[in-house]
Amino acid sequence: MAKQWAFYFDSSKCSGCKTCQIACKDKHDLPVGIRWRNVYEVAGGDWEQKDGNWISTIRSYHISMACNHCKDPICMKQCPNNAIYKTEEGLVLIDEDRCMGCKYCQWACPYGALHLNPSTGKMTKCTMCADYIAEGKQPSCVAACPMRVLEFGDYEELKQKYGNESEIYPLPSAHYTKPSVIIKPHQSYNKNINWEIINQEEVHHE
Amino acid sequence: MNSSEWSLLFFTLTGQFSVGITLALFILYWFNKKPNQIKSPIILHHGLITASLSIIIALFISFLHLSSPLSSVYALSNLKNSWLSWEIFMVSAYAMVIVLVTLYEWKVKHKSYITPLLLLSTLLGLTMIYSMGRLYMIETVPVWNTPETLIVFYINTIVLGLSFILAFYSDKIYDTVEKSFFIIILLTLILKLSTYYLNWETEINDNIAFTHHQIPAIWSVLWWLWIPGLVLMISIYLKKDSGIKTRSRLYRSAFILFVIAEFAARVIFYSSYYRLGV
Amino acid sequence: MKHKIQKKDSKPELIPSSPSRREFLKLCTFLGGGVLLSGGLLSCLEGNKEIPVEVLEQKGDITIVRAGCPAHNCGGRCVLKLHIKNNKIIRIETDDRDNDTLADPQLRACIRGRSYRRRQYHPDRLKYPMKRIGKRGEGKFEPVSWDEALDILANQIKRVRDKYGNSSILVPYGTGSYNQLNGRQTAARLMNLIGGSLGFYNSYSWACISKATPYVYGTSVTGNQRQDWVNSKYIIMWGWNPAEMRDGTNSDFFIKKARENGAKVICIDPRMSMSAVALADEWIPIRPGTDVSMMSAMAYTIISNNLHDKDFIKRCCIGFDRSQMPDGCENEESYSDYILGTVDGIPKTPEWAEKICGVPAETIKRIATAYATQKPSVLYQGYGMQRRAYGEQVVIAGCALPAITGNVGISGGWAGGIALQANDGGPFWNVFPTGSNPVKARIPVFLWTEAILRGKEMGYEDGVRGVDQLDSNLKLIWSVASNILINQHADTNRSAKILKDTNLVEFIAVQDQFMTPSAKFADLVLPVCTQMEMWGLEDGWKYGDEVIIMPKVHEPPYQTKSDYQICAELAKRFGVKEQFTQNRNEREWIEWAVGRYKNTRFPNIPDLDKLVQKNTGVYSKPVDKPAIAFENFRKNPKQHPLKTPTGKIELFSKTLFDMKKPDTIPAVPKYIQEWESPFGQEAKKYPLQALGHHYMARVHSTHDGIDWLDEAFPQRAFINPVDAQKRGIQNGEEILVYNDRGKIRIPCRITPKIMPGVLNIPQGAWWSPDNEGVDRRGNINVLTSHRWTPLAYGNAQHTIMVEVEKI
Repeated sequence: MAKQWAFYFDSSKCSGCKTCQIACKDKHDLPVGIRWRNVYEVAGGDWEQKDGNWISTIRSYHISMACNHCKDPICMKQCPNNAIYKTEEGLVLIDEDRCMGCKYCQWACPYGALHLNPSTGKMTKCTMCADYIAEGKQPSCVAACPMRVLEFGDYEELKQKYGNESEIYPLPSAHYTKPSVIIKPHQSYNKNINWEIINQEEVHHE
Repeated sequence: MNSSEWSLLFFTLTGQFSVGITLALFILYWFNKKPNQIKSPIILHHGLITASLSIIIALFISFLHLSSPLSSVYALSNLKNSWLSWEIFMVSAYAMVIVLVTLYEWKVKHKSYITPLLLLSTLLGLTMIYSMGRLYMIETVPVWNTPETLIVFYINTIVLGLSFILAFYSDKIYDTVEKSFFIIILLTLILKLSTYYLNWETEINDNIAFTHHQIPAIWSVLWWLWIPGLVLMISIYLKKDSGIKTRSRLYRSAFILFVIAEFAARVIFYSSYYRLGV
Repeated sequence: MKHKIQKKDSKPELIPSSPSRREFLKLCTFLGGGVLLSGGLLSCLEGNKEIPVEVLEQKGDITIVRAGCPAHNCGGRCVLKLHIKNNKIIRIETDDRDNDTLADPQLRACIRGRSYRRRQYHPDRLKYPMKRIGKRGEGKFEPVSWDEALDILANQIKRVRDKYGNSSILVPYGTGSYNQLNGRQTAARLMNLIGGSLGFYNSYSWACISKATPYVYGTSVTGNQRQDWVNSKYIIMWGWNPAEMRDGTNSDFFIKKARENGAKVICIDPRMSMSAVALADEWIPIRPGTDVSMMSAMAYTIISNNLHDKDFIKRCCIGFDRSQMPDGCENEESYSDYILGTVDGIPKTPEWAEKICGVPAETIKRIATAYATQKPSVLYQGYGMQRRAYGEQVVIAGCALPAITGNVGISGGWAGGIALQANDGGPFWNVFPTGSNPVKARIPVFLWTEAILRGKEMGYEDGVRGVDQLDSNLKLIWSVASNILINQHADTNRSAKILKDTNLVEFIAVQDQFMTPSAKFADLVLPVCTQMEMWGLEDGWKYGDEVIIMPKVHEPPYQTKSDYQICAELAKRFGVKEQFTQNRNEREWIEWAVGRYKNTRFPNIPDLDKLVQKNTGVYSKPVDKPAIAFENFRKNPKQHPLKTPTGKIELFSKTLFDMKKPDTIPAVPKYIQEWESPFGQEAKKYPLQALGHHYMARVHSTHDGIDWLDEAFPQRAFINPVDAQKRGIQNGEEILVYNDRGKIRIPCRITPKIMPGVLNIPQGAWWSPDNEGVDRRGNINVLTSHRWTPLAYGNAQHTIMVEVEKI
């Protein structure tokens, strides 16, 4: 029994193939427009002309992000209906019966984890495949990744193995919600670079 | 802005309008040392009805922004942590009270308790505005997470409520009251101007992936319409002996300009949303 | 006797797909073997009411079947775990075997396999046979019965065969299916029983690399098994993007493992591809089509700094310098003559190359030195750079570098070239026997439009082989599992014009699962079922050591049939049904296929029944000790000579020399400026080079328009911010991309991950011309040229110049 389930994501080997995103969509029958897991393509650096050649200082990496099942989830605090709750094992889940679709949780989540399902009128989010975890299986995205860059486990155990970095651009400071995610940055990552999400139309949500 | 944000826009405007009227009525009656400060009690009657209708309309509109309104029965569950829970509570409380006060005023002959009732309604209303503002002050939404959010909500309340009374009932109140309303509006609008120039945004030391959409320029232009509105009001006082009809006309025009300006300000408010992170 | 139009759920009469008596008895044996009873068994007893798979894993009311991902032409061969409830696939997962090791990794599917439900149940699937009304190319059809449809096709084949001969019939190249019983091989088998059809050789994927590799090595089997990459110290991924196109399931995973084991990886590519981001320590942007200049400059650096492996060159190569030229060519320009410029006066220095390829000279020197000294090293050639003008040169140059650095025949090295797998060439791809083609004439696969326009005049110089001259123009095309006709062939507008003319090609039949742009040009459209609706089997594509079964989990819906069934019914009309079917049904053919594998590469493979029972989906041979290509040759070149004329690695090829076309087919690999390049006159009008890379969202043109895939990877024209800014183009707005051959209008994506001067419109999007003939979906072949390469007669589809305009 883990105290806080968490994701580990190795950004240094992620190709941006989105198999995690599609595996999640398939498991939960998500329609076009709702992606519980998004893959952000981030780039920085520049092209400069030098001696007639174009020299690239371009760097790029991907961030695959679903819900971080935060230790101090702002969505849970915001929800007037107490429709969002945190299980004993740290998963942050939505009780759809209580949700009235006000989207107040979505306004606040700095990881873009909440999504309104237009056909049910309820907010939805990554559940870390709680049903699979209960059976001892891996969440869908973790089992899907062809580059094997996603893992899941107890936060403290993962932290021992991989450290506790989670503030890679475009993600915000961890102090807001204490996300249960650990990210290994790409080798070209440097937080002083002017980064930009260059696949905005693929990931943009409310 | 999407359809649910438009609902919130109309909800906040009509809700604040209602509280503004209640506030205006309260000021009229609280400071009414002499029994005939108010020329006609019709102002109380109309005012309360307008305030009640506004808050009922506001409540109805607020349901339109919910995707599953039936589950709103649970909305008071998180008073501990959620300002939205508080706001829903306060809107309901204020609505109930103002409707009861309206009925009281309508049905009861000797309204000896009207002033404390107006006080209660006003306090509830102002607290409602406070919770309305606080719920937008989310830590991860820097553009809203400033005192400006509260201030502009109160400005809207005061300006619309008081100028409404002046627009339609200036002939039913004495000059001193009329002047004091005008001065309150003037001071409030000076505060509004200062919010434009003060840099209220909190320092952002964090990543922002998606900034807000471009706001159509028309709204930034319409935001300024409160100035001609104020000028119209000032002109009343520059012409010492303007007749009642002229004054009413000017007050009404000013009121319309204030409504448009506040509407534009609210559109800008909602359209400027962005969030830390993604 | 006329048959009535068959209803949706009635079974085809001729080929029984319901269990035969034989199958039923086998099932009873299973029962005796203690197999789980389930709804599937019941289905056999009741006769195909439910899923016709015998052995199942049950999870409540959900049946689990592990099956191969439908084998379209991606390089992956992966396992899907299908969850089936009430006859419908409700969930797709992937390989979940316990082992996930280097020697025997899981075969995890990508987004194309994971989203397959969206394709399987797509409302636009073809449902019934149709014949054309209106003009050809308009895409207007009316439904007909199967009987009528097959009669039409049979009669047309007979008519054209009698009037013009069998070589006027073409079953074009098509790679839409690779599961034995769906795909063009079924039609080829039939044609070979009734006189044959026009043959072809090479492919759209590998024309140059498959032709040119044997000139150097005498064989196409030049690749070590991939697990060997972990032994490498330095890996150059040259125009190679395995993470996206899936060049063999797990190739990207293996490179990741190599890196974990200390290998340094660099990517040389005009784009910072997915592989560059995930796998490379460094990305080297290079101008498209100039790779040979950089390879030559690398050779220059290596040779002039004495970093080449002199011993290996002496023992195992010929043509390196004048001291080892083949007989009769002693005074000709050797490999190092070209590199050092002793004959043409142009030393191929990094400074010389820099002006051509855009890679700074210092970088070229650094990479060359690293490749030659941080050994063993790999130079992996991707296929994009050989799908260009003079693509043969880059193949040979890419083989020469491993040879001169001695990276051939050793663990951790890589000989280059097409790299079929040591030691037996690797997987078979297709074992379904097509028989031999009575028509001896073969044309290069890319020149089929020439065969339509002037077939009778085509001879040896046009790549005709097997006969001196074709005896007819092409008159009938029967396209199976192919979107070549319109979408994937070069110069779409030209192909459309040719095919619209019913006097040229008199009859076109297209057999497919969707109304593709090619199907729109058919006179007859035949609806095919998907691989989940029939029995199938696939092996490991180019690399893998596995056999993956594809059990039938669905009845073919509406009136669809498998390619095999269609051909079998057609065979009846030619009186060759028994020869065609060998009295086997689909499942029995797959049993037979398993038997073929048992007799050749997988002696321990269980039979089909046991494979289905085990329900792992895949039978794999763990690669504990990866085979090394040319290991024996390297140890003893005299005892194990190569199949080249000299028995050695030919850096100078006398065969090529004797062709006497030194400008286009030189004897040593040379940089030749492309016929459309940034250095030619055409660049004044069309200054940008255009690529069409293999997009994650599609397998060539398969999967185009599937909603989840479109959402993840929308079709865009990818343009560099420098080029965009020059033209005032904003991100996301529609732009016009055009040259003399056509126009495309689609939204753009501004990205810094492509070189300035290069535009990318991912290939495979379905041609969608508007009223003015402007393509609105981004089919890059609207812009490509049908000019072919000089030696392989291959497609040079990536050699294009274009201009871009803000709309």
